Amino acid sequence: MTDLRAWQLAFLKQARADWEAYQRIDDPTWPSCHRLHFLQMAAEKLGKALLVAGDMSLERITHTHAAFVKFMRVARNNHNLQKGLGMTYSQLKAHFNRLLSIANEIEVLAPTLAQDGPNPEYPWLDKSGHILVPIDYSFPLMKLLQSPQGAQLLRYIRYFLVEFEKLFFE
Amino acid sequence: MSQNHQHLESVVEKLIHEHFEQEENLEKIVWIKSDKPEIRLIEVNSQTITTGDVQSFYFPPSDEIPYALKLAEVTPDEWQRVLRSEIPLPVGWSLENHQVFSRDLVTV
Repeated sequence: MTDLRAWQLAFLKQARADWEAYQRIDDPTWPSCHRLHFLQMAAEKLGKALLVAGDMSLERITHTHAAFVKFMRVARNNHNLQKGLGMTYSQLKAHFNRLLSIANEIEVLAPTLAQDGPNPEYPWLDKSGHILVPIDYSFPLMKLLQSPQGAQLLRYIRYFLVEFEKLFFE
Repeated sequence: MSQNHQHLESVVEKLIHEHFEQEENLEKIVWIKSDKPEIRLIEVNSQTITTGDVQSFYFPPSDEIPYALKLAEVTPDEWQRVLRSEIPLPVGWSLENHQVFSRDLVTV
């Protein structure tokens, strides 16, 4: 196994574990921030599992949190996916474009991308100078995820995690 | 019908209406009724990927939807397979008490 493939599988393994944690937190008493934290981490590592095989350096990939939206942009070129969905490249591109804004909202949950704003891990200052805490915050992303497009994106994330090897290694 | 059930039903109907408006590829939405204070929906979408199973995603109660929401999405073909019992529903879900909302009937 090449080093690159080993890194891909490593990111994938952790992404699958983060996704499992996301799925298992189905207790209404748990705040949304914890669920969103696991979702963000799963999506980021899914992205890295693919991007590490591309032209970005491993060092850059391990240090960036911006991987999921890039992943979605790359995945729409995947022939196996196009075939599985029975879509042409343009159709798949249009299809995925509708999901990119929600994918971006998941990605920017990472504190370093949140620009001192809402994130599921650390308190931040709002515009009026109040300290906000993730467990008290009502994340607009929760409503987006409950939309048909949100549910569709979650279904794709799960599909990519389950079928990653078949889609991207063959 | 209890007041609680009436409230849940009105929340479900509002949610279903919104989802049909948001997604043009939704053909129907199936409400799997439950004794629990939660909303279980299967959305039949012609433009989604086939996975061969019914995976629901959980959302905690919110100000707008004060019930736990479990939302699954399937293709029209997968829905037919569910009806033929070829694809199982999530654990605890049953078709014994369900209601199908078609786009034509909801969005007129």
